[in-house]
Amino acid sequence: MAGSARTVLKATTAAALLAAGATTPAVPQGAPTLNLYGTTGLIDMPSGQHQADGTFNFGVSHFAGITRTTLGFQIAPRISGSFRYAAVGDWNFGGFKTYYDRSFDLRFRLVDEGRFLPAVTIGLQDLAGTGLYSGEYIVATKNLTPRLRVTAGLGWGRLGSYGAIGSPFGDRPPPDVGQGGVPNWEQWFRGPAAPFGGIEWQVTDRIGLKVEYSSDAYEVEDGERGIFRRQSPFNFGIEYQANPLTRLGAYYMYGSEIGVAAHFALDPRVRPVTAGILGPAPAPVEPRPARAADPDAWSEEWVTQADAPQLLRDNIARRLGREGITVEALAVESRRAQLRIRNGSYDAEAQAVGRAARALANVLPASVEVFEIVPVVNGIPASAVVMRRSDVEALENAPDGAARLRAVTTVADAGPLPAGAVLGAGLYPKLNWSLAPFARTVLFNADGPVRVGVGARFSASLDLAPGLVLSTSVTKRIFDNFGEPAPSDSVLPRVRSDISLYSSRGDPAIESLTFAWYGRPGRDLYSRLTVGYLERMFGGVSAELLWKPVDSRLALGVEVNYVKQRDYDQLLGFRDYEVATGHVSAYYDFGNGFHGQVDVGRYLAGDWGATFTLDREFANGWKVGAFATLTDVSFDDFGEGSFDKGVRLTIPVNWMTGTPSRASFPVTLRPVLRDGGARLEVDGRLYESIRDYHAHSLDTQWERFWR
Amino acid sequence: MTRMRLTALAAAAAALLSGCGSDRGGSAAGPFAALREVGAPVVAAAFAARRATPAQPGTLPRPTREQIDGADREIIFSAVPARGSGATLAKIGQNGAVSTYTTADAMTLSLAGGVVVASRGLGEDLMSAEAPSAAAIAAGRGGHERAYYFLGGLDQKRILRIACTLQQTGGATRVELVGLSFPVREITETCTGSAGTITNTYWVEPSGRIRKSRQWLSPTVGYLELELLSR
Repeated sequence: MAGSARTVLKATTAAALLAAGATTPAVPQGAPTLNLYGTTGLIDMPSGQHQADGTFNFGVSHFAGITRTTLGFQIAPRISGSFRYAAVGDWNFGGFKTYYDRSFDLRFRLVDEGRFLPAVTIGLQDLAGTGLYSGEYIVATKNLTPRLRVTAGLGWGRLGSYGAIGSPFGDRPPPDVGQGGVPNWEQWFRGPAAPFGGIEWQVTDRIGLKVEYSSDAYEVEDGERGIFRRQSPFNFGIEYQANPLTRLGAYYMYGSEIGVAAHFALDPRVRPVTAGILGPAPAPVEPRPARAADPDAWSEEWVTQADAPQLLRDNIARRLGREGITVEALAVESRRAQLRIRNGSYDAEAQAVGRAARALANVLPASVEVFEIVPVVNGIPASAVVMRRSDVEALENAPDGAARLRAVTTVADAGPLPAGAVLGAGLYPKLNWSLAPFARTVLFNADGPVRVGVGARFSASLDLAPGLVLSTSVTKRIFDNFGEPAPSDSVLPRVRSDISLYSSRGDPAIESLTFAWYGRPGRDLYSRLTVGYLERMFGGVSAELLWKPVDSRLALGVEVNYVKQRDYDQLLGFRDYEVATGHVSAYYDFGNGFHGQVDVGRYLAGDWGATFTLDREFANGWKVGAFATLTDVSFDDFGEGSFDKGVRLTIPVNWMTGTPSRASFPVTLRPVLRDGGARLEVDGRLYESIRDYHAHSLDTQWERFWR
Repeated sequence: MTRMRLTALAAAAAALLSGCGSDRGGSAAGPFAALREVGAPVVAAAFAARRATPAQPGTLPRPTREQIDGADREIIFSAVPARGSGATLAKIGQNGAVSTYTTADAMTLSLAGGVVVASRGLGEDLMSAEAPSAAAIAAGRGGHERAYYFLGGLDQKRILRIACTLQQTGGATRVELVGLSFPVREITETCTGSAGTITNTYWVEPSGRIRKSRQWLSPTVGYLELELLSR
């Protein structure tokens, strides 16, 4: 990474040529820095500034035996959120030697910094947790010069515990923790308020100094638990910007302790290693000869040749096969051709369509003028991208050629397979299999941060006909530290809280063994029927129907399942719990990368309710989102956390490597996994399968058409 | 030597992680599958970054005159001075005025009469461009506007528009390319925007053909040096 960072730095001057949206994350003077909580701020106190829209921060800090690991995201220009996992050593209380605490913050910027006005932010720290870090603040920061800035704020809760000046909004009620996980709003901005502040001086481009006055008394750590001695409200720090992405800090904390921190910034808009898309260049478009110059080439006689479709299919398949695209079917007429493809290669669906268009232009007889390219997922045609060959020829090298081609391209419903189509050679039946390592991790348990198991996974699928597939996945562990899990204390059917029993006892385990049938029952309609061992904990029947016009921002779906809980050993047996579960779902693409989903229905424990999900999606495949499920299970019956919720993050492999790949790192983080609001996990859900090939999704990466 | 051993080690590790199966083209699922896809390229990039100081484009190996003349297609040489790398490219396509040339490892450059209008596989690629014609450059005077269309990190179009002027900057001179000498004039294209200057230099034969040039491609790639090696 050091090498790539050097390249990034060197490139900065050239990048300055681009007036708008520079590629490189140069660190402008006065860029907001982070504190030991991993949020924008001084040392232990927050500041009024925010990070650049859409950026992620990952930070680790340590002092006095307290380690805080924080993932932060600038959700929108004015809103940021942080998820934190803290480990407090030498706790020795309530059965915990080390106390592990999860917390979540939200910050909202009320005022942007102007010539005279400071940036003003209102923040909620640990707004729904057990309350260890609970505090609220309003804070202002102003740059006096590009290198010198001052911060002053007023804190409540934890941030109002030292040097309070009174309780402007009344007394702070005692925490009503209950099962935790619920916003403790009745406490917000109540009780003693205390001022805090500090100064930051960016001495050089790399070295920064900080001094602050902290309003946090560390009452629990200093007093009750005796973890360290807080002898002074003043903290001092020196920070070093190692490269545009990495900032390191060392601090003298509270007159008694040394602290350290490392912060990493990630901007999804910047490809860190490659600065572009790698992988082999496409074949140039070979334009047809002018009709006047070579009338024979334009003859339509070839249509009468019996083996023409097969020969053309094989030629196209050979070219596309090199690029990781499989020809599913080809239908040709004298003036029109429909090519059905499976994109196994490109994260940008438009790039796969572009490669297919080039192959058609270079293989088909001159008389064929209209190309219909139909991406196929799980045997179902997702859409038809229709363009004129003349446009493909004319715009290949034209300035702004991608946008100009899109203007004359339509995305339509795929419809049924045309008569006379030839299927791809050797596709049905076809056996695919793989043997590869696998890892399973369990994060953020109350009794320890990481449980991990590693081993081998065998996966196989047998394609029987378009849309008909038999598949299975089996794992065998080599190493794990799962141990014998503590028994679930859930009062609900243990549809998820026993998951660790499945992890520890299933070895070898049949993760799934299913027969699935995907179809297109009508225009804008998609269907799925899956039977078998659907997931690690349940087997049964799952049926789904989705309505999604290709150019619609709205999609509606319904899914019904009848499932039975599997034995812990994850072989073929079942336990005696069975349930009918299912949802009605609405999906909406708000534009600007925001994407919402609402699922209403019955969950695995038989509870009724709804799940709300909001994602921010970047065109290059980065996704970050949050979800929450509220059902008729009471917070007390749900247990720790009160209701199901979490955040999820997907990082595409292509973003890191630049090379063709549809793989990604998906991570879902839940503070705690319980039985209320639990959904069945079944492969091949329709919406996520097909929407990549619908108009709005194709358009976000359409520039990749000519890549 | 150490590097070779490390590379072998990395390759072995990648092989172990990648497992085996009937189809390597499919999409990988899960973090581990993704990790093995990331591993190899990132390791390769890390080693690439450790390379010694960039070589001078002039010292990079060219094909021999026999090889050039014996080829059944046009041959050019292109160097990226900032990277100290260069490669021989062969013409593989002609669409209107634009010729496309490829390296052995499938990076391509597209030139309209010798003027760069696109690249593929160089990192931050030029996707398309509005550029002056070879005839306008050979004339060696006047002004025009250029538009560069890049692919940003979010796969969105990023446009750089910049105003340029052309002038003849030298008298008659000659360029030597693999055993042949060509009479040329030096034409300089100067483009000035709010944040910087691009200077493209062309060495143009009396026929108007651009024999050699130094042209800006993109912010992170910088300049390309191009030589038309075929007669």
